[in-house]
Amino acid sequence: MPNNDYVCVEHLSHRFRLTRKIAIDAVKDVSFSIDRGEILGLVGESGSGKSTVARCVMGILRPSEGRVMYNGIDVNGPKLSREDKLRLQCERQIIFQDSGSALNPRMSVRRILSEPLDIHGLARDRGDREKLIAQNLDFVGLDSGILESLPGELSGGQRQRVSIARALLMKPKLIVADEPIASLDVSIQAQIVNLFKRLQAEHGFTFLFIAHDLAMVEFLCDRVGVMSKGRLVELAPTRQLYEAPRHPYTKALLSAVPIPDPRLERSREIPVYHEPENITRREWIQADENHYVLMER
Amino acid sequence: MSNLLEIQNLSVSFDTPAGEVQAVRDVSLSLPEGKVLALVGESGCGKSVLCRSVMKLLPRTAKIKSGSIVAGGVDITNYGERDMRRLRGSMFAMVFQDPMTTLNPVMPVGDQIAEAVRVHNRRISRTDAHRRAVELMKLVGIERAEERSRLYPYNFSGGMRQRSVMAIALASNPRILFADEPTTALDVTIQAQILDLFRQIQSTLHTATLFVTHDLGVVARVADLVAVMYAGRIVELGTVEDIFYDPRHPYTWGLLQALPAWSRGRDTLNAIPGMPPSLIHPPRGDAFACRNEYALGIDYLEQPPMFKISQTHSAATWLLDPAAPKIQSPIQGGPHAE
Repeated sequence: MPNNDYVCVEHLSHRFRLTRKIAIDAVKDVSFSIDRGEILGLVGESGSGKSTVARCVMGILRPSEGRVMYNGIDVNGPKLSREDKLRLQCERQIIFQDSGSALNPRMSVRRILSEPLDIHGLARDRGDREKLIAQNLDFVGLDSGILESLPGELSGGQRQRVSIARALLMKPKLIVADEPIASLDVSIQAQIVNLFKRLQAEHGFTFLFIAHDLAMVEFLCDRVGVMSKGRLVELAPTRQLYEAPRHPYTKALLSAVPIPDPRLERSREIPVYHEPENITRREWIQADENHYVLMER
Repeated sequence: MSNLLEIQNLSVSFDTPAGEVQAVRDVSLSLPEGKVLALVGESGCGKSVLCRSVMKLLPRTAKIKSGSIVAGGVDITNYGERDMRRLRGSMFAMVFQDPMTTLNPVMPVGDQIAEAVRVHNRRISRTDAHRRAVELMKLVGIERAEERSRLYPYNFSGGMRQRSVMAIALASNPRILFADEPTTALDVTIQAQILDLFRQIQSTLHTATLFVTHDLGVVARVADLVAVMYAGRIVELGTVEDIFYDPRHPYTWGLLQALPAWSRGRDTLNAIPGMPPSLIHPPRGDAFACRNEYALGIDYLEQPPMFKISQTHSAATWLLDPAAPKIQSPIQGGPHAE
């Protein structure tokens, strides 16, 4: 693998132990890499393991097998140096789905945005700090008039913008967004997707974007990976995935996106995807340049 | 009487420490038998409050300020809790957003459906109630219903849970079904199946459905009639074809264009700028004016009336006034028209 890969996930598996006897394989043998400055989308139904992948990349969960490399550093390595740990903390940032529970309800927006600066001892001078916070609010399209508000007083779209501003404050090189638009209205979703696109172009961070439906991902991502039942089943550049999907699950997911045209929408059947039984062999094959599919037999 | 539900000039307000929140403002709506009416709008526009005020499931701080609700030919505006209990189930039933929190996690699904059957029909025996529960499970498309009736909600997938919730709602043969974002918590592939189930139930049982959603893609699949709500008011009302092929209100244009299908092949998505106004002190004039690129001077001064466009179609925007400049709708025939 060339060194250009910024994030490299190698044969990642994660197993949640429920009891001594029962365990759930949330992620099974997933490998992919993200280039520097690339936007990779990860799509799949709930329970397909995409959030678990995100959490492993962030080091919140420790993979059962495989490893996650970030810029040459093993994220869960046993002997990380102090500098590497600090770099991992500052350079990777996550944005969660539910901005209502990701922001402390008793902290004002000002405190929410100051906290990461306090922790890392950045912008100690009061004037610098004010300027930095105002600048980051401006990036996400918020007015500094909301600084004294509590999260409960903001709308869902505004709260998600505050979460994004908090992540941006650390000047991250990698942002992982775990379904950041799923709990928003369609009209606000479009605003946030446009915002992400602009921010990525301006700041050039590497971006792992997780979503459960394919419609919005098309606008944002350079490449898209599709997950089903804990496995990555297809990975391709966005255009190719939408125009020539290979895996039957991807096809089902694509055709399930509703078309805003009542006559057309009602006349079409939506196929249901059933996983074939008795799969004996799984092979990750290259179908085209940069287009990979999991063949199941 | 063909309209099962008639809402006339309904206004609902909440008392909060910050002031009076005018959640529903002067809404008139009628729901004919055997039709699905979709209520569309952003969160906080009053669509859930409208549903709950008909069911009288609002908290104490809410007050119906004016207007009337007539269900099945009876005026229920001033009904108390005791009268409403009689109507809930037999007249109305409701399907909520999240099937996991609606179902009892420690009770087999079949028993939960049978319980609903027994509550509304005290004389039915346990075995008959169970038989009816299995019948209802088959009706909502759960295969191997007999075996599955003994399973618990956590054994079921999200789609099957929502089907079970529908079975409970249908247990008492309601004439009007309220569905409050029933597919928002489901995956896209399952969503289409549940929407088809709604249509199928409505055509076999002739229930009328009030379907609340914020996603116009969903509306295209499920609805016969559409009401678009903004800041507590209905801004456009029509058949599904009126709304999708000939929308007139700028807010409806914005909602349609915000769908990714309309921007396919372009660099950025069309978003409606800004956000909905506070309902504590709603702005004067048209509440949508400050987000509306087609706003006229009068929009900031006076609330537009409902202009009738055809027998079925009406919209509240000054653009339809004969004195208004002619504006070409940015929506022409649908995203796949070319």
